[in-house]
Amino acid sequence: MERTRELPRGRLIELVSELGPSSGSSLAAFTLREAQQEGGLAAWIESEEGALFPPDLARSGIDLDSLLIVRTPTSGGVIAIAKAAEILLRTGAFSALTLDFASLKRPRGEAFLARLAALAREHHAHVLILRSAYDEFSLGTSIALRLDARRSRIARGRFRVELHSLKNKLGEPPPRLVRSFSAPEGIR
Amino acid sequence: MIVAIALGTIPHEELERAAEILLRFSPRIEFDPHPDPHPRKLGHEGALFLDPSGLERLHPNRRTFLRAIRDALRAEGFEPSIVWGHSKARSFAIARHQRGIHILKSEREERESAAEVPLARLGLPETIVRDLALLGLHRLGDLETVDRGELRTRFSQPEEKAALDRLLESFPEPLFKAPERFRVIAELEWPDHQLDRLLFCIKGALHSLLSDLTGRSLAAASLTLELQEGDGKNKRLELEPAYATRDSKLLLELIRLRLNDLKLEAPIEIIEIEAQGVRLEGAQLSLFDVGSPSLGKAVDLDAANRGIARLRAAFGNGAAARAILQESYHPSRSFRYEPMKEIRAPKPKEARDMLVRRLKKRPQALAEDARGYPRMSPPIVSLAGPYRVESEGIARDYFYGEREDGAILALFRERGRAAWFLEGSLD
Repeated sequence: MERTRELPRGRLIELVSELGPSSGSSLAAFTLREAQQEGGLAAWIESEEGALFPPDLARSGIDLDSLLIVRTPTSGGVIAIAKAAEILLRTGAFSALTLDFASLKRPRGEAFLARLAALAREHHAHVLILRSAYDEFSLGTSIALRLDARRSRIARGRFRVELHSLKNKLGEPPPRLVRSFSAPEGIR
Repeated sequence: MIVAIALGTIPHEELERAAEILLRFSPRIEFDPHPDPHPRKLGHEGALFLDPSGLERLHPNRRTFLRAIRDALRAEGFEPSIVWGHSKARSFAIARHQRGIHILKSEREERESAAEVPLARLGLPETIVRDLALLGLHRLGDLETVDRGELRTRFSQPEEKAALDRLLESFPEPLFKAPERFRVIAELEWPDHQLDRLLFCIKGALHSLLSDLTGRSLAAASLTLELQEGDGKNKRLELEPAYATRDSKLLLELIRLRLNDLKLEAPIEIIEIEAQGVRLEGAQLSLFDVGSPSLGKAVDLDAANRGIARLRAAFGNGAAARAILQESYHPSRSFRYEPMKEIRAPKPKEARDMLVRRLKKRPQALAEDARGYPRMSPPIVSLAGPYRVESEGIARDYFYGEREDGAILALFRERGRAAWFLEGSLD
């Protein structure tokens, strides 16, 4: 069942989050752990009202001491998160970033996305953007992939996560991932 | 961590009696590790050390714990000074100098406090204290300004030599002298609130400040900017570069990032800049190309730390954080955030792939439906639980609810109340 092809680096990837059986945050955590295992630095950027639950990241193997968590002012919205990501990408030291836009309004304009896309390409970094599934369309033309990591139960407390591509501008087939994940204790 | 207790000069039997009292608080009590035949010599009079590790759950509040120790010793006629620190020698030196109870949160704070301890308070022979004073050495921190080997050659008497050796061996690592502060005031010719012009004015003042620091062979560890508006109101900004620096370009960039988000209500008339001067610490140049492992290079931690300093300048010092796990049965209390100034290379663990939860900042109240389930759309089809938790003054029943569309939600109900709350979801 464990079939993976890595999410592409150097491109902006949107992950559907916060709807039904979607598992965007789990896939983002999986990617950050992979980056850390290669010796790279990883960061999770969200607004102060963000929904990150660090104990689950630690359980999935992420080294929390070395995970930078950036919490931007809620009033700054998506733009503040993008600005923080830009600062980190420009250092050239971070190899995986997760930007949590899930509970935030879509801003006007796409200039910030174009800058992020250029920096991700230059530094060959994973840039994953979590979006609420209620936003029907991707953020803009700079988004190379929009994916839904869908979860289905295979046993008590075990789930299969499979990637479904909702938008693909890679010019090649979308990445494939079918992998089994454990649920936190107490979930049947 | 260590708790150092100074009891003044007392007979050995009294020290043993005090240790008996301390055994009520911790089984790990130590006398001075180097018993000294001359009790009036350096650091060996009335010294007791208590290892507080593992007692956090029994005594969550450090100050209350230390007060209980003090009261128990006072009741038996002792007059203790108590320091919660990180190294025996430094904590004990501070305890001998400062009366009362002191909690040193970081090793840096301990080193800074120890640097201020007068040499005369350390029980050295009077002749040594006098001779050191002639060399301009009055406090522990002053020892950093001289070569230790050369200092030893100045004392020929065996007793003096032994006392000095003991002093220097007790403090092998450098102490930090309290940082010097440098200040410069720039008055604008015409009150202004235009960012570029303010930065131009700050740039001039910063150059003068940095040349003062250069004159003292120091670098800026932090900057405080006070902007005085025409209506008498002040705005205070605090900035910290990733490491102490005299690079004006780097400091100006941090100031620009902070000023960008600042809303000025009135034009600025006076800008006051204060720098904390510390010794410039040289770093070895890297022999290998650094960058990011995704480009096949070694990770560049310096660049990452500079990025973190920029984030702190742009969004405030709390914006860059690391998560600290803490023991609690309630999910929302099982972690906290701590500001991060420096990042280190990761050491991830081998672990199973786990689904992660998202937790709402504030739980959302839900009504109950006819089946006794929380009312939602699409409806909840099954509930797992209750997982009963009664700790930290909160009694809750936790559940996981599966909705018709496959969403798995973290829910709880306050014991004795009908209301449900949505705490988060599996994502």
